[in-house]
Order: sequence, then structure tokens, then C-alpha cells
Amino acid sequence: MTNYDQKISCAKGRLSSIMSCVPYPLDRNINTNRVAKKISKDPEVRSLCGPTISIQILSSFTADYLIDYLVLMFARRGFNASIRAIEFGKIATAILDSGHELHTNPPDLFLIFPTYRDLMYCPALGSNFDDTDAAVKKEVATWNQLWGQLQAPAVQLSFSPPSYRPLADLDGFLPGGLTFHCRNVNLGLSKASKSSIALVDAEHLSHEIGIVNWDDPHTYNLCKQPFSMDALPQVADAVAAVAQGLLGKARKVLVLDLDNTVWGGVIGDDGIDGIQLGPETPEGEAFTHFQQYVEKLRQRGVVLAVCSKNNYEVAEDAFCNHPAMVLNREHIASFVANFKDKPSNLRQISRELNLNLDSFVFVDDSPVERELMKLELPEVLTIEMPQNPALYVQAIERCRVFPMANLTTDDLNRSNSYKLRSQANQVYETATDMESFLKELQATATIECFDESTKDRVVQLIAKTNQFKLNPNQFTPKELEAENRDVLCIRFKDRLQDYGIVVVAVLSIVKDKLIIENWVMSCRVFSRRLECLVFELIVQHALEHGVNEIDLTYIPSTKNSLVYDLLQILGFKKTGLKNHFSNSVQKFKEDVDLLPHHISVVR
Amino acid sequence: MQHDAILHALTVIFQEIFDDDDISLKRETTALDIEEWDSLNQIKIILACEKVFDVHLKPREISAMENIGDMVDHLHTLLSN
Repeated sequence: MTNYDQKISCAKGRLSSIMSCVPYPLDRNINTNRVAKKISKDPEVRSLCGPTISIQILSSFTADYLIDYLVLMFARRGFNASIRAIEFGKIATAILDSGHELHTNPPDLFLIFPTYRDLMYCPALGSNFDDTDAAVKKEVATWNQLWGQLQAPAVQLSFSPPSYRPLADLDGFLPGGLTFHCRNVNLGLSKASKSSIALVDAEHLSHEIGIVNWDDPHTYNLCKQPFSMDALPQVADAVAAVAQGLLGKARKVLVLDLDNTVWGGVIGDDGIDGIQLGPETPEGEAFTHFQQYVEKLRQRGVVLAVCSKNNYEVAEDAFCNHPAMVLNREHIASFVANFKDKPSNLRQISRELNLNLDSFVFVDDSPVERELMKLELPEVLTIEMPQNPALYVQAIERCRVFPMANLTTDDLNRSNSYKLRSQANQVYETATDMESFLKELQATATIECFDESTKDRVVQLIAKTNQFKLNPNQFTPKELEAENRDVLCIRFKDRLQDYGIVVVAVLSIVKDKLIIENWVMSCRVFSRRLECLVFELIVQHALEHGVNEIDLTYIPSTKNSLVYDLLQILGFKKTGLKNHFSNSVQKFKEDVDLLPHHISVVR
Repeated sequence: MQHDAILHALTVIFQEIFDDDDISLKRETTALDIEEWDSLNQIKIILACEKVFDVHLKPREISAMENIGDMVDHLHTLLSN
């Protein structure tokens, strides 16, 4: 490795550790003060984040404390920002001075931070609505004149009213109220504004942060910053997000998982009648609300893709035919459902849509899938979804991942411009490093006893599972307790989650054969190679009992076709009997070479 | 709260604000001893102290302080009342 390479790999390490402190959404428990400082002092790290951009702040309040946070949030959104010395005081004076450096040496972007204190024409108490209109026109004219002088695009904070309201609740509705004036001015400004000016909705920001923090008289009194120090990260992020949109770098694609993301439950196991979606249950309603939100994003030009670990036909059938689906198949520009790892699938979707991965947002309820995605494709924005689906929309909202500066006809037509894409079981070479990832997960398989505490779950798992199941045989607890039967029952855990009991194999020894009467596995743990470990244990069981052969009956159904592929991989051979498979223990040991599973066994 | 505990809590505040775990405050420490301790960071220090110790620091009281020792003593007085 050259010196240069070494330097870059150290910088990448520092970048990664900084960015882990500012996930999407921001974690209120993580103090970002230090990382803001660190990145502001580290040009090497910043150069890895994206193109350089010079920014000039014009502010009516002290913006000094905001600078480090702006650098951090711009870096997070793909820009290496260098922020110029601030003009504190009259914004207008600087802009109207034609010889000023702003004009002779313009930045790439202006950030303009006025406050309600800059408003000049607030109508007096007792004014009427016509007076209000005239006043708003004057304020808007002032800003239009200022904007006309700028030689670079600008992000400007809208006017938010102070927290005090001398007119009480009428302050927001009556001429003479400052709140009323602020709102009208904002509306006037947004009607007048050019496509090179984007407003940050300060009223919304105030709601999100809480007015106690947004309008903090103590901090303002001390240092002329109107909001508290606690508000700095969110203010910086809100501004950076709008800038990202204005500069045309907003992300474009939303990739959705299906199970427990757009509906409750797992389609492969629960079936189209079993998944939660629609008005009958609170869980179903939460997912309906989420789909409605996603649909609205699509209407304004966000491209939708699906990436699900499911049988393609099963997934597509549910998507197209469930009566409560809000999203339609035509809304999805790329629909991928298979058992490949998701990073490979996203690479495929990126090629198909001809859109870079750095314009992708990944939404998935599974912490494991998210972890792998962040590791393999850090350029994809992975959202840390909360466990409660009722909070899904809010989580995405807080991330500000699809900022919008203007609405164009392109945006409105985007969804239709993608042809329907089908993706059925295509196999692509993957560069994903599954081995290290699986190792890092530190998965364990605990062999549980079949007893009072586990028997209900065992019976339920055998009954409920549809995809990974040899045949329709079910058993009562009493049957499972029979003398010559052994129930292998496994609890699966990894660093991120406890999945509970997810595998059951019902084994019986008959003469010199071990018969796998049934073998089920929850689809929650597909792609973990757990089946490799389970088969190892079954072969071990056969050896312990001195049998020579392992048999099973596999009855194909509409749902369990993947079992057939597994049987081939494990080395089972068809015998002459219908649905019957077998092989000698000897041959299993000699000929079969399974992928390493990196799972440790606990007894 | 004892003087030592206050000094320790102050040290943690400074380490956070300056992102420097090597900062070690003594009673004699002044703004001249810490490179980035300017008027901007002074505000952050004041606000952090108010939060951590749950007190109110008056601006004129703060400007009267010459070193960390003065700060510790002042905080001790406020916390004893």
C-alpha cells in the first residue's frame, strides 16, 4: 500500500466513525458536539464526502456556533463545505453594496438567516386586512430586490414568529399580530420567489425542535443566537437538507422491503389472508398509513423500488392482489424478490434504473439487513426504522431524505416514465463479503429441549410454516413425545436480535434409517445458512445412533419449492418411491461440501 | 458539592467543549492556557455550567472571574445556598 493509500484508508476510518454518530434519523442520545468539531478540523475526511462548495452566511443573528454543525451536516449529505466569514448584522447592507466581496467573488451558495426582528412593515393593531396585504407587498418587494442582486443560489430561513403573543390566540389571525404578519410574509415570499431561492420552513422547524428550544431568550440574550445550543444539529440539518434539494442533489429512489415494512407479518408464512394491512387492526392501519405516505412521495417524483427476500410469485401476488394495498404494481419502477443478499439486489436495481446508488434510500424493518447494507453499500442511505410501524412515517420524515426545492413537470411524470420492470430469480455475481458479515453477526444456535415450555411453539411452528417445510405432516404434542421420536428444536440469536425458536426437525429412527419426518424453518432466518448447521446436527444424530441412511419425504406445494433446491445442495437423491429422497450417511459426509455457516452451537 | 467535585465536573465540561480529553484544569488555569478558549467558547462554557450545575450565572459575575479557581469558588457559593 502506498503512503497515499494508507492515508486514504485512515481518513475513511475517521469518516466512518464520524458518520456513525449522525445516523438517519439523528439520535438524540448521541452528543454531536465533538464530531462537529472533528470534521471541521479534518479536510482529508471532508474531501471524501463530495465536491467542495463555498458557502457565504448572511445572518441577523450569531451564526458562529452553527458553522461546525453546518460543515458536519453538509458532509453527511455529500458536500465538502467551506464556510466563509459571516456578515453579522444588516443583511441588506451587505447585499446592496455592489462592491462587496459577495458580488465580486460570489460563493457557490448563500445561506440567509433573517428573523422576525427584520420585518419592517408589521401592521399596527387596529389595521384591516387590506393594510395587511399592502404591508406584505412591501416586505416581499424588499426581499425581491435583495434576491435580484445575488449571483448564486440561496437558502433562506422563513420568518418564524416569537413565542410571545400579546394578542394571545388572535396573534396568528388578526392584523396587528406579528404571528399573522410572519405567516403572510412567508406565503408572499414563496409566491414571489425564484427557482434559485429555497426557503427553510422555520415554523415547522420550530414545531419539530419545540418552541422552548427554538425561541430561547436566555441564549439570545447571552450571545444573540435565537435558539438553544441543543437545537444546533437539527437547525444545521434542516438548512443542509434544503440546500441539497436546491443544488439538485436530493436522493431519488426509495427501496422498500415488503414483510413488516409495507404490511405486517411475513407473506411466505402468513399468506395473503394472514398479513396485517387495512382498517381491521391497529397494526394494519399503521401499514396502510405508511403506504399512503409512500404513495404521496411517488406522486411528487420519488422513484419506488421493492427489494424483498421472498419467492417472486408469492410477493408479487400479494402486492397486486391484497385488497387493502395502497401501492400498485405500476407504482414500482423495479420489483425485486428473491433470496439473494440485498446489497447485490440493490446493485442490480441501480443498473436497471440507471441511477447511482448514492441516490438510494433503503427502508427495511430488519436490523440485520440494514447492518449488511450499511457495511456493503455505505453510499446507500439506510434509515434506522423504529420497531413500531405506527412511527415509520415520522422516522422517514425526520431524516429529510427527499428535500424539495421546486416541483417540476418532470417530477410529476417520473413514475410513469419507468417501464414496468419484472425481476424473477436472476442470479448475478456478487461482490458482497458475506463471510465476514456472517462472522461479525456472532450468531448462536441453542439446542432447546422439547418440553412443557417449548412444546406450544414447536407445534405452532410446524403448523404455521409454509415455505421451508418438507411436507404437510403435523403432530400433536403427545405424538412428538413418542419413544422413537426426537425433536430437534433450535433457538437462533445474533448480535442484533433474538429470533426465538425458528427451526424444528422431527426425527425418528426406524431400523437402520434416520427419517426426517418433517423439517421446518421460519423464513425470518433464511439466508443465514442455518439449514447447513441443522443438517450437520442431523447427520451427527444419525452417527450417534449408528444408522446408515437418512430419508425424508418431500411433497411439493405452491409455497415450498425452495426446499427442492436445498435437497439438491444437501446431497439428497430421489429414490424410486414417490416424493421420497435418501442418501447414505457415508455419502453425505464424503461428497457434500456446504458453505461455512459461522454459527456457534450452544447446548 | 465540594470544591474537588466541582473542579472535576468543570474539567469534563471543558473536555467536551474543546474535544480534548487531555485537558486538565487547575485552580490557576486561565483562558491563556487553553488555545481555543475565546469569547465564543466562553458562552458555551457558561451555558454548559448552568445546565450541569443547575444554576444561573450572571454575566457580570462571569466577567469578574480571572481563573478556574474563581469559577469553582463561585459555583460552590451558588450551590451552597
